[in-house]
Amino acid sequence: MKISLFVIAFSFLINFTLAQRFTISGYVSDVKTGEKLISASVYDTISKKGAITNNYGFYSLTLPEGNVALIVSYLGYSPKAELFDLNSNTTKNIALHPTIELKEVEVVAERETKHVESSQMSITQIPIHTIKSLPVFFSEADILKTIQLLPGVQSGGEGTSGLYVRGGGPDQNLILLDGVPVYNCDHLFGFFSVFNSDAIQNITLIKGGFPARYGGRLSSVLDIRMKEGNLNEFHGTFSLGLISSKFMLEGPLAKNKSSFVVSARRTYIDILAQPIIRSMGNGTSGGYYFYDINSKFNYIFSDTNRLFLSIYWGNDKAYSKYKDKYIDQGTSYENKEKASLGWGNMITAIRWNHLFNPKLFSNVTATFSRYRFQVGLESNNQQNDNGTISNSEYAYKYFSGIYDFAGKIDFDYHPSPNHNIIFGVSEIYHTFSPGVNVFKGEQNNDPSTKIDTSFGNSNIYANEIALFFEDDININALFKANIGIHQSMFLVRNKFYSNTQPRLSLRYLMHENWSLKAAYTQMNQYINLLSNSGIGLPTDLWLPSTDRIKPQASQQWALGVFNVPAKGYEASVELYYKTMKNLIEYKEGATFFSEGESWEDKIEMGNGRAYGAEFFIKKTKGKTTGWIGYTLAWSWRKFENLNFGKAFPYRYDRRHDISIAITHTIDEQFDIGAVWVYGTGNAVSLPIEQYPMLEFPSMPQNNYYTEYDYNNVQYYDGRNGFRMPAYHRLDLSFNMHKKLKKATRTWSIGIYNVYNRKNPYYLYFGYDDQGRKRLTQISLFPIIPSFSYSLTF
Amino acid sequence: MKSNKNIHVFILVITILLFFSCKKYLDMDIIDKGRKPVVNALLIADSVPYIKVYQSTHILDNSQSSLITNAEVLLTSNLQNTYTLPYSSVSQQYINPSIHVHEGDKIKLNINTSIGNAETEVVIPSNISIFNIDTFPYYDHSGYQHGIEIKLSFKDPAQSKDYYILYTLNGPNVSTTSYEGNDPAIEEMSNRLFIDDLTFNGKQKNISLVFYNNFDMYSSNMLYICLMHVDENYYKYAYSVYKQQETGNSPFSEPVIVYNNIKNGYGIGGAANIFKDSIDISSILIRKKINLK
Repeated sequence: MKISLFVIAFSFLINFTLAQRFTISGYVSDVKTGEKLISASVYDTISKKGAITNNYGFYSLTLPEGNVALIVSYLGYSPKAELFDLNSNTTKNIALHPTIELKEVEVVAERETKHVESSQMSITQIPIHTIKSLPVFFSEADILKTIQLLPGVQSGGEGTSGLYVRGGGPDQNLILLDGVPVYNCDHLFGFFSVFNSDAIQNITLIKGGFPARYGGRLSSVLDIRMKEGNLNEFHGTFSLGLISSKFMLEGPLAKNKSSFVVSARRTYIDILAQPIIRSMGNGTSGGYYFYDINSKFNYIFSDTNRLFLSIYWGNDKAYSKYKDKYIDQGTSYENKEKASLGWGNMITAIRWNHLFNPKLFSNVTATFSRYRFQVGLESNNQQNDNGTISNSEYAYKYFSGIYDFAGKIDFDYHPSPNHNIIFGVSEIYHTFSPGVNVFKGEQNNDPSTKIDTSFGNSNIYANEIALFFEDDININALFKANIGIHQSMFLVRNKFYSNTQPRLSLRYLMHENWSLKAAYTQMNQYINLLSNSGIGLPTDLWLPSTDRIKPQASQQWALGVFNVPAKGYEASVELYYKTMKNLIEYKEGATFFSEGESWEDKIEMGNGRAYGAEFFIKKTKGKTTGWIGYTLAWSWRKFENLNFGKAFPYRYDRRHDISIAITHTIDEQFDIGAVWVYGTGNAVSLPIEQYPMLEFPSMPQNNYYTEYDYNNVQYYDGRNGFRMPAYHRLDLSFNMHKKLKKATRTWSIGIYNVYNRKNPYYLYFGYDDQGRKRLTQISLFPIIPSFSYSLTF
Repeated sequence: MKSNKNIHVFILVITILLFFSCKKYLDMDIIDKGRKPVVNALLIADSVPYIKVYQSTHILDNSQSSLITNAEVLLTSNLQNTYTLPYSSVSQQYINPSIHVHEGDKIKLNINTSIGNAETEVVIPSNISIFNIDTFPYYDHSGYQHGIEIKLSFKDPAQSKDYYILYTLNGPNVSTTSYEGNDPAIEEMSNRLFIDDLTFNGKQKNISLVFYNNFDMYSSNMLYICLMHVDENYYKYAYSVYKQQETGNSPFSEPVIVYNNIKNGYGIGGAANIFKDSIDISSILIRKKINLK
């Protein structure tokens, strides 16, 4: 018996070791457009081994010689099966059909347990078609607004598109557009994000268990990939909305060799609002607009070499003009003033994909990005006193920004189905411009009166270097792990910081449809956003860690249960606990406008901690899709010099956050969408009591100091001790599609804030018509109907 | 320029926000912890102690805080002698001219009122003298004299954390002065220098400040230079209260929480030891323009 067992075991071992292994590799793409599909699943049902496509749609799977039954699947596409005999290294480029094209043509068993089987937790991918079918604000599908509907992700409130992930701040999100960090994602003071959904192909959000390839921020990674452009034929979309219009055009430059995609949009609030603004004052005019342009070109040199060029350019501008002309006692006066406020991003990236062999894929990237904020003021005064003309003119400009030159090389190495190794190195050269003032002036065209000077904070230069290595390991059928290390270095003002950040994610497969996952991550962040806790403005300053400002650091522990309760459903419950060190906040009483003071003198450093639970259920198939998310969370801050050293709730500490997002396809012509959100009110500082202040002692007379009590002290029950009213609203949308001869026409009707909830934007104490002091709330958006017309060809 | 810039940015932002916004009065409950006694007491070495007692008001109450005139105010010195401070309707404060507080005294104040009993404790700081004062005419960039530059020195005691408030008086009012330097432990606010000995503990501190004078506007030939050596409580209170006054209710400023060390009440129990010296400025203020190199 023992001998038999030994023979069987030995035979098995021999069989195993002698079995030849070959690699299947290739790209997964959309059959019509040629667009590569990111994170598509490639799975062999015989060996039970699989792979996931990378950010360029590439996969590599090494399997034993013999029969292979590959199933390739991707959300929103019909799965495809490939049966073949594997007897050599094989290239399989697989094209999938969008489900909307295929309907009921072919049905194969799609793998629906990806989110259960993956070692990665706290990750969400949202198909762009889902974003487009959800209700939108002013007919603008918005990526960040949709991301805010996920559990663990919060919006800042009315009129903001900043992300607050698991108790972190808006600067703690690494938002990547084609791999390039975007510093300011807001148009129109946060009402819209800078990402034009027509140009976007894929969105991935990671809230915890960060793979080692990501670094530089504490709280989340939002990896947004632009479309590459249709390799086969020309297509486009033109859309006309209530306050903006946009277009997208894509097509081949050389068929199956090179393609491009260009999209642009611009608002016309400035034009629509002009009559209202003109009626508000004599000689005053003003306006606001934003525009952005996305473009991408790619060229396929061969199966092993491919080049991409991505460009984003967007700007916001608000302006006002004032003109006044009058005559007083025979002298005529003419005054002109112009003021402007602008901000914008520019991003360029060039990358080269190279396939060394079927197991080793590389990507080399060079990027430039710029974020700039600017305030301008010009004044020209002229007076004519009986032919004697005198004039004075001056111009003032303030600007701040951040400029990055970066390079990165990373490799995907797939030595076996049990290992997926990613490693690389990156370097960013930052130039921070924390606020420069330029003043120019001249009187009566007299050169001796000419002033041309600049003052303010000087530029700060810094190098940020990262080395990373991660391995996604199939330990056995039950356990899978992603183990990695991210080594970051930062050199600024001769100060060198180095931090080793271990990353670990572990999955235990409890059952075919159930898994338990845990993750531990350390993160460091070398740049900070200094923002106002009152009204949010794009004046927020991006600043580096310096010799005085230590890098931010966090540790996060997460634990989750993942389940596929039924076909087409996904469910999860995640718990997290996060500590944060070296956070920055403005000092009490500080303001962006306090000039003549170094930014380093305006800030305080402190710590934070956040913890909570996230519940998520998602339906991915059928006519009705969508999700329900609920987050129960706490977020605290503790600064030695704020709130007299006592812990206080973070402004965006939100105990309850609920999101429900549903889309329903009625038939080929009609679909509807609904979104309902609820969030506990933001924590703000509001006084609750008042009393006379003790004035300063004045001149002592006869050992007696007089005092006065003219002013009142406002008593706050601690920093952020007051809760704004809860935020909630319902949005609805209705889309009507019609196929024309050569195009599809879509009418979209949306209603934002259906039940006209007046959500708080800002609170202050004001006086009503009877002169009573009242707590006054400014709300931004009542019920807003909108519509748009788009044509896709 | 600064105000111009602020105003224009503000107008731009508000115009755009108003385009969308709507206003609503909220009748929501603001936490009401009830009225509490407010104790405003700054005990100054070698002077008569006086205390004002008020009743706080809810934030939505338009009326002024009312004085409490029937409180029992007890001052206990060094845990030994307890004195009553009667209310003076003339000066509208609790005062006992027969007693003085002195350097090193540990004072406990108990204020018993019909709306609650409050208490606080202070220790009177030591006297710190300015041992050197030099004055110079101060000229602007174009060569016009704008005031007087004052250089002064004092010695900070070792082994204790000390706080100071430095200011000048020209006539009865605090005069316009500015700090010339970049010591992070010194902050200028409302024409006063708030000084923390963080960077010079136990050492001599030299400070340069400029007294600005509009010539014909100055009200006295005498300029008083006052160095208040204050306890930590008063320093935190004065710093935060002036910061709150300075920022007002600007939506662009961070809120300021005023320090409070009154148990069961609001206000401040603070202590100071004031060193005062004077200089005759009439001979230093010369109304002429000089040629600057």
